[in-house]
Amino acid sequence: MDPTLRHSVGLLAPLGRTLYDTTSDDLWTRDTATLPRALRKRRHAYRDFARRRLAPLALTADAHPEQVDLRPLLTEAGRAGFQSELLPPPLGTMPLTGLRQPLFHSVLKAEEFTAACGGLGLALLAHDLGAAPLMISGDLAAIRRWLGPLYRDCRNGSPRLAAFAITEPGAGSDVEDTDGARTVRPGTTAHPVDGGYVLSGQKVFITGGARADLVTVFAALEPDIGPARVDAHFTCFVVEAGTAGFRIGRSEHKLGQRAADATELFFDDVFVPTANRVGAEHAGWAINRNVLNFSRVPVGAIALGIARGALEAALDHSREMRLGNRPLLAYQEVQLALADLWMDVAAMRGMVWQAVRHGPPNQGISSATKAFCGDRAFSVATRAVDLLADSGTLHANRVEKALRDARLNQIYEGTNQINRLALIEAFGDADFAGAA
Amino acid sequence: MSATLEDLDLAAAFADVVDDYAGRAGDVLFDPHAGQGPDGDLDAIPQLVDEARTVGLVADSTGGAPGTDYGIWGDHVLEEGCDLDLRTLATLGRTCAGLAAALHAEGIGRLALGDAVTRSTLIGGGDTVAAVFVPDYGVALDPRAETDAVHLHGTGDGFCLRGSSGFVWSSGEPDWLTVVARTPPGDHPAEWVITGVRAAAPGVGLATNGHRIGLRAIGHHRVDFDDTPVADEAVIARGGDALASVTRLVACDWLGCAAIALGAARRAHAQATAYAGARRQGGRTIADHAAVRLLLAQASHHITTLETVLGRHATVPLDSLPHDDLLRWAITARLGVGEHAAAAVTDSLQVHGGYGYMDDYGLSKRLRDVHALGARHGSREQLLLLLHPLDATDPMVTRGGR
Repeated sequence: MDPTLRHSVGLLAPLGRTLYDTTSDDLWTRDTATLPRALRKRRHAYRDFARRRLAPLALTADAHPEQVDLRPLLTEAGRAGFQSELLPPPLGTMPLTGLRQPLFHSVLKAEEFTAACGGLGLALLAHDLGAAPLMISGDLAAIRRWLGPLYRDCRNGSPRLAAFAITEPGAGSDVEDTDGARTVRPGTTAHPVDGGYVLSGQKVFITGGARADLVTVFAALEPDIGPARVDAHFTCFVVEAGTAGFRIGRSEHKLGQRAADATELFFDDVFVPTANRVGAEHAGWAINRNVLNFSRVPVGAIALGIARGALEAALDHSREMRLGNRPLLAYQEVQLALADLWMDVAAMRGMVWQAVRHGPPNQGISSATKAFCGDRAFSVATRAVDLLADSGTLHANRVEKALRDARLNQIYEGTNQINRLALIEAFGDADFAGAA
Repeated sequence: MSATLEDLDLAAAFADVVDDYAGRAGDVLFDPHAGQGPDGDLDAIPQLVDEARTVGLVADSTGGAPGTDYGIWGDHVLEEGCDLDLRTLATLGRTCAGLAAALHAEGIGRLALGDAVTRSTLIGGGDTVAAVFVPDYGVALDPRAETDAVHLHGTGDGFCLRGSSGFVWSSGEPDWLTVVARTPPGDHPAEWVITGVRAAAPGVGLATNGHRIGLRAIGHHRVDFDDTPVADEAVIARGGDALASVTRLVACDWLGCAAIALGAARRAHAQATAYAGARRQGGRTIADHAAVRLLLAQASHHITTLETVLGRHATVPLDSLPHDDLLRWAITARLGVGEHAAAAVTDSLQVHGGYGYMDDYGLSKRLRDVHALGARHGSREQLLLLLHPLDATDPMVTRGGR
């Protein structure tokens, strides 16, 4: 604070002084202070882990993902309780705030992890997505059978991972959208047999699919009459790694978030017992859609984290790099650009934190948060690259990685076009009445 | 030059040469059965650059080759304008922005060396030439960057270079460095100098920059000069003549980047249009969905806008184009890389959904490349700050019209 202004504030009456914020805390500290105590502690723990374990590996994990062993990271994250947060104690490590606002800690974690590295962050966070259908189904037997042991192993330092499998080669948006689900012919089907089901088909772009110990997979249960439909016949199953007929295909080479694999999964007449079904037959469409409702706000937080990482990298560079005899940060045009980025990040966080205050997530709010943050993150990262000019194109300076990482957030978990339409659909009887 | 392109009908012939070359280069770089990375077979770049010299795409090629005048950024730009160069780079950018940028860098390196006679005394026809003019941060023409530039110092018995440039593009490992320098801070009047040295000269430190977002086909170096001696005859221009050369070099560099980005954007849009007509969602081709049509239309609109910008002075001989107009045009074009080419590519990528993000479809490479082009030599803010004083003398701005 300017010394003259500080002196002037000191002349105010006591009440006036208390109303004038003269502290110099950064936004992270200020935002954290607004959280309940349990979430404050989590936010610090997530950031500490991310800075200590993820940030140092970020550039290598991006350029050479095959050279980074994720197992120690997963073990430490599991022991810290970060991989078992969908359930409260004693089965899981969800903070008690999660009973009313089940996603708040998830978005804090997503932001901190991906601010350090979008790819490594996603590699850790994908486990929550894989486990989500078990919890969201409300199927207590499935929760006890699968989620409880999975979480116990994570906490004990023997992490086992879950992956979520819906996308199919011919159906990306179709399996995430009402209109598409009515018309698309499902590529993965389940045929009832004695004692269970036989699954056949293929899934693609499955995050964490290469390392998953169990996969929550959605298949259309073949009807007695007529063709199978995604919306009417989707059913969720657990398939464990090593099950006969279950194969892991190639992991894609992609633009960003490269430390997290996106992998093909093949189901060649895979027999799964009835106990592996999650929820009721034909309940898969509701489970799937609500998984997306639950996941899209954390995906918005992933975008937020990537954008924050880009801002932090641009700030670091602006302090170090000089134009003439002054650091870049001393120039007004640089300050104006960085202020824009800071405001974008703050706005994204505001939207994410407001979204999770709604309790169980709402399709419209989740989709809007995901789309808004995905678009803003790409804009922030692009602007950061541009601000650093040629330096911004060098991998070592981190902003070009943020640009590549951020671009995925406009695509996965439904393209941002699909998410905008999901917003209209969700509020079609309310804010957008008349749109139907 | 004794005849114009139109007289000789060389433009059409040259366009055929470019098309043929681009087609062959695409086959070599992106052989679907060779299993290369997303940037293609980068080991083939030296061979493709050599071939470009042979067919005349590189200006001032070995004696008698057709590119002596008409190669990229050849002498014809002074009397006939940049139209041919911009079209050529757009065509090459459609195939591979990195290869296009490599050949563009070669031309820019030769552009500031003056006429063919001067060039022939300094460099060999087969030399790889690179221009050294981008400061560690920002734009060479930014007055605030004066202390950051490479400086030409007078010594008791001649001249030497001191300073560095972080971002030197070339078509390979450079043999010759064309250097844009200033006289040292404190010298009055300070002036621009165009000079050059062999890359192997004493006091030249040449280091390859590390991993970067795109344009991986180009040579990408940091150059440090540590009391590098400069021969008298290698001081090519000083003062006003040098300023004219620097302005031309900077402007043509930006224009070339914009043309390459335009080519990449056109290719991305064409791919997206084809994909949208084949891919189905919700029981219809995705081209039938308004969301996808909007993306394709936006991309098309961006491409048209950048084409218009690039066409503004394309046929005006650089010799008769006022420097302020040249610079204003080039800045607008370079800003258009980010605002239009990158936007068109990212919209085209979005049409592909998850497949667009995967390297197999080529959209990810095009996105990386256009962002590298859009960050070339200056931030958006710096370019805008350069634009304003130019606008202050523009009758369109000051008097409401020309």
